[in-house]
Amino acid sequence: MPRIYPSRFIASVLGILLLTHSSLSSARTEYDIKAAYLYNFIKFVTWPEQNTEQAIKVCLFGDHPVNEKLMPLSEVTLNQRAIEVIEINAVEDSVSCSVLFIAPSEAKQLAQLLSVLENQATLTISDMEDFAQQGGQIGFVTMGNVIRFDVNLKQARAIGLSISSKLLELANEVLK
Amino acid sequence: MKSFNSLPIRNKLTLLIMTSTLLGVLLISSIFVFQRYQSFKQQMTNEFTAIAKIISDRSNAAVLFEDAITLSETLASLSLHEQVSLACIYNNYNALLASYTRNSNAYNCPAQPRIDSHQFSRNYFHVSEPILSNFESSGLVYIQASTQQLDEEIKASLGSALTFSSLVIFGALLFARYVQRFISDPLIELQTIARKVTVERDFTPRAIRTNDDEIGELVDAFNTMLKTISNQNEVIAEHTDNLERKVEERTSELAIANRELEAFSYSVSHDLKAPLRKIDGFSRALEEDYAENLDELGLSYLSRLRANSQKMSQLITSLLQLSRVTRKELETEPFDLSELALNCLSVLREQDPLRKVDIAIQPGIQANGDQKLVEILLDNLLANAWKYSKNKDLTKIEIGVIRTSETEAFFVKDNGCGFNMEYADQLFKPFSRLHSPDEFEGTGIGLATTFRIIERHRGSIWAESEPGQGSTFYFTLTKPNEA
Repeated sequence: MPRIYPSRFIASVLGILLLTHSSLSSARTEYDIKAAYLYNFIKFVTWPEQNTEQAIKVCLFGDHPVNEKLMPLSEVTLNQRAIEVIEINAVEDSVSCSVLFIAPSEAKQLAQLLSVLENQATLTISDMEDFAQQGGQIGFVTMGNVIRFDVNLKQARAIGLSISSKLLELANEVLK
Repeated sequence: MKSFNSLPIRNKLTLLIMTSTLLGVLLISSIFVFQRYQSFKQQMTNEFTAIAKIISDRSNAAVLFEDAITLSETLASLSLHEQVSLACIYNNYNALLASYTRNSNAYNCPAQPRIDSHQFSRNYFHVSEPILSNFESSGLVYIQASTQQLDEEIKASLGSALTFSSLVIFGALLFARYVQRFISDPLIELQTIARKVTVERDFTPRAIRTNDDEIGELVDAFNTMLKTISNQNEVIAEHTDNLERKVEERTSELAIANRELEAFSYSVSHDLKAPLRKIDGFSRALEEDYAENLDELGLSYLSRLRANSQKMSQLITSLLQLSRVTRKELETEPFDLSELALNCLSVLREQDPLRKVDIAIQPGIQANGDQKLVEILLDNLLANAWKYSKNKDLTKIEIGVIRTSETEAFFVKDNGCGFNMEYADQLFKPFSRLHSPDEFEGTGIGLATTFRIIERHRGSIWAESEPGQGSTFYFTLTKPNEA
């Protein structure tokens, strides 16, 4: 059945990209899901002083299998904003990022990273343990076979990020 | 339409009004119910499209994160809406993420829900709404709602339409019964009067004008017509009276004149007889006492004088007889016609005893009439038969009766010289003769007398003949069918 929806093209790109096709769900890896979730988080987060001409800069800090899954996002626009995916290695490079995905391997630098970003409107996401509790904004939580997430709403508000209540509703835990 | 045609006018009018009302009410009710139905459908469409949109909007995040529990909770909120029977949420690949059913027996979620549409099926309304996030479709909400309430609303609309229609029809019936009187009552009155006029010939009743319309004019015209007819009837009756009076006057005048004429002819005939008898008497005396004083020529003149005076005497007798036949009062009684004929013939025979005559009389013929007049009639007919067959060697005379279903006709048949049927209509006129006096002597009054007698009996007389073949005279003494 052909879809007559205008965003059919984007959806198909994302389908390939995010591998959310039901028939392939068994083949979906944890990383596929996390990549899709990360893309979806962007949809429910509003940055202060959003500028449509400016690309959404998605920064990947540290080596993570999800990184390669996120690279194709560079070809996608969201809300008429281009997405730019870059890998960074230095803590300082994180300042201009809209989204920062932190690999668990960088857990030792987390405190430093968070202090650098203290006044930056950067959405921090990671799948390291207790990331939200440690001051990150969204942390992936694995509960059995299901991947959920915690949201540190207090932290997000502090830096001026607005997270949609719809997202909060879905969160495993919301820290206020 | 013959049955409609034979309906009384009041039923016709009522039927007309009722039919148009019924059609109008049916039309209005249909439009009302149809509009209600459309409006409910639209309402339902709007309502459930809105609900689907709300659910869609509320579910976009949960669909993206495939959070079936949240989706189920969202759908469970639909339990507040009684009409919702089934709700399903799919992701972009038609995989069912969450569902809600009010009734566990309800249909399962369709495998291939239609995108962004709404439609009514037999018992349900179906609506599909895409789940959008950032203008991208990420799934689909499908809601199925029971149309039971719609059906109930339609039933209620039908009920109120029916009540409304009944009230209108009842009102129209009352109105029709009231209004038709204005048309039918004057017409019925006209009909009643017209029937009375026809049956009773009474032209005095008048219809009362109640309307100012064409019917009122009709009533006026009808009354005028009745008045004209009744006036004309009066004139006609007057004329008839006058006419009858005049006819009576004329008739009595005529009767008097006739009687005077008859009396005159009778007295003339009667008075003529005395001088004639004297002429005859003196000529006989002359013949007897002075025959030797007269030469042969004188004797011849004398004999011709006597013959003519006898002829004149016969003529007078005949005239008197005709006069008597006309004036005599009719005394009807049964008698034996055969015997009467026999008597007449015996008189004839005495006068001419040397004739060879063969007479056949049907015995015992019973007739009903004035015996004296019938005797004169037979005298005349038999005298004719006797007279006109005198040249035959053997005279044959036959008397009998022919009975048919309608009448009985008596006949007198001879084998005499007969006559030409062309002159048959001259037979019964007075003084008209078919034969010259040199051939057969006669006065020409005999058959006229016969005819007068038959006429007085209201019977008829006719003859059949052929020259040289004899004649047959038929007569009846009653009108046909009275025999």
